Parts: sequence; C-alpha cells; structure tokens
Amino acid sequence: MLINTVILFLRDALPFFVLLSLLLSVLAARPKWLSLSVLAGVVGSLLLLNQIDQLSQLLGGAGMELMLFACHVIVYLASALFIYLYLQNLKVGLEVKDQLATLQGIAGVIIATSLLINGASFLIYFVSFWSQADAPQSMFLGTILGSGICLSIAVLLYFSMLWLKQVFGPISVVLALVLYASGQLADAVSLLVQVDWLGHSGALWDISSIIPDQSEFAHLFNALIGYRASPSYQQVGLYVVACILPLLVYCWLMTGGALKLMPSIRPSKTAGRTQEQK
Amino acid sequence: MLSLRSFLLLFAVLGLDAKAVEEFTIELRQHLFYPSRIHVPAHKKVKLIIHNLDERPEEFDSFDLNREKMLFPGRLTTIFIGPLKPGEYTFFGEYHPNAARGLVIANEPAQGEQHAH
Repeated sequence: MLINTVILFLRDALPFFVLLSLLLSVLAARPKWLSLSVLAGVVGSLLLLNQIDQLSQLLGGAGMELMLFACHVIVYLASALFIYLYLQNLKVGLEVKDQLATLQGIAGVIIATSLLINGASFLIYFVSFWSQADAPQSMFLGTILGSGICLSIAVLLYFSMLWLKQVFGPISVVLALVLYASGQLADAVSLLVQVDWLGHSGALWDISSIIPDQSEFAHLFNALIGYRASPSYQQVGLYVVACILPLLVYCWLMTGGALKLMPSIRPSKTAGRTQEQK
Repeated sequence: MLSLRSFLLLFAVLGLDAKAVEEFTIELRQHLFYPSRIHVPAHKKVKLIIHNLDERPEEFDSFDLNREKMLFPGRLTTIFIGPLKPGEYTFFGEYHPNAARGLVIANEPAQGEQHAH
C-alpha cells in the first residue's frame, strides 16, 4: 500500500505540482489566490466523489471520460488565455502587477480544474482503503513520501523557471506553460478513444524501449510535456496544433489583427509609465 | 449549410460508426482478474467488459494499451481497445498492482477469419 500510494502521487499528483510551479513562477506574488483555488478544487472533488459512480454510468459508460476531457479543455483554454494576457502585458509595457487580479483569477480556474481532474480518484483511493487493517500507516507514509517527492520536483522546477526567466526572458516560462497545457490536452485524447467516442489512429512512433511509459522519467516528462512512448497520430496532431495556436493568435493580434479588433491594446511604451506614475 | 453527407463523413472521421465489435468479459474477484489472459484478434477494435465483484473500487490501468479507468464495485465497466498489432499487452489494477494483473494477447486472425463479423 505504501508503494502504491507513492506511485499514485507520482502519476496523478505530479502534473498538478508542475502546474503550480509554472504558475507561481509567473505570478511571483503572495499566493492568497492559491489557497482559494485549492479549496475550490478540493470542494469540487468532494462533490464529484459523491456523484462519480452515477456519472461514470452516463452516456453508455462514457460520462466520466467526457467530463474529464472537458476539464482538460478548460485547463488548456484558460492556460492559453493566461499566456495571451501575460504576453499582452509585456508587449504594451505593463508589469504583471497591473493585471494581477485577472491573471490570478484565470490561474485559480486552471488550478481548481486541474485538481478536480485527479482529486476525485485520489479521494476514492483513500476513502476506500483507509479502513483496511494496516492501510492507514502505509498510506500515511506513502503520502508523506509521495508528496515529498512531488514537492521537491516542484521546488526545483520553480527555481529553474525563475533562472530561465532571468536568462532567456519571460518567453521561457510561456513556452513551458504552453508545452504543459498542450501535453495534458493531447494526453486526454485517449479518454475519448477508450470509450469509443473517437477512433484509434495507431501509434505514430514507439520509443518504449528507450523511455517506457512506466518509468520514473516517463512520469516526469509526462507531467512536464505530456510525454507518451507511443503517441497516436491524433495525440501528436493535437499537441502540435495546441502548442502553435496560442502563439499564432498572439502574433496575429499583436501585429495587425489586434489593432483592427481592439484598438485599445495598441502597443505603447508610455502606457506602462503612465500606469506606474498613477 | 451542412448536408447529411457531410455529417456522415464527419462521423466516419471521428470513428463514431456503429460497427459491432467483439466483446470480452473479465471479472475482478479478490483483486484478481478472471481470466487473466485474454486472446483478442489483432487489427480489430474490441470491447472489454469488466465486472468488479469486489467490495472496493479498483482502477484498470495499462501502459501498453494506454488505458485508465475506474472500476466501481458491483458495476460493469466498458473499455474499448485496439486495433492492436499482434503481441502481448499487460494490464493491472492500480490499487493492487501485484495481485490484479492480466495480459491481452492480440493474435493474427487465421485465414478466412478476416471478415468473421
């Protein structure tokens, strides 16, 4: 039970810790919003736990998968919006603090939804097996070890991102967030395939002999960039589109489209100074 | 305006066709899968119906098949797999990975069985 709990943390909780590191490296502020969004995620998971059995039986047994896929789409769209607003701020010369409340709100949605994705299955595991004879001690130790490993990776990633941000600029954090959100979305395609809402397209490549999916490195890379040893054509296609789309939209808006659609965001270096003077 | 033909094409692309697929039933008892070895035809989509007869939930998991699904106590759960290349694909219960283990074996269909369905 101890090992199971640790593995469960590595597989299901690590992506959440990675997400926290990435968002905190952008929003380097006192994370009051963090407590609220985590609380919202936990409450949502508890509500879901109550209905998960019925939900899984909906739509011919596809209810749970469709809900989880919808959550992944929400996380991706919210991340894309977060990236867009963050880049827009930098472009018009504003500091993050000028739009902090909006960015925190979006980050809150991302965190709460991400927590909901794995929170309910985590709770099912703990609620179901806690009453077993020797389970509480093993599960407690497993939780300490698992969360310790996840937290260590998260802290390391957080400081790495701060360093990368200093050396290569904010685009490094943006790219990391784009890769993370796209990877999680592409990985969720298998949810639709397993309930037959989407046909299986076959694997584009198979490198399971180099980094098998069950290895620790695979878990880490999966959390960071959505790694799969043998991804399908659909997953790779969606991944590429999901990576490129937010950056293309941003470029389009910032070059010509933005001026036509939203004249108010015309790039101006004085805008930032005016805000600061106020 | 989208025509009926366009809708049919869209459904075909998404794989939402209603073709019958072969079904294989697995039972989970005392954290063990019965049968633990399932022979399925290669190059075909198949449906696994898993009946969790235990009192606690389990999570069906397979890295080889890229599948992960919660199995609730007393419930029948459906998972579609394939089309698979000939070979062996392991699966396990995430909460009891040492006990709840199984193998999906995809066999090349014999001559004449290609259009069995």
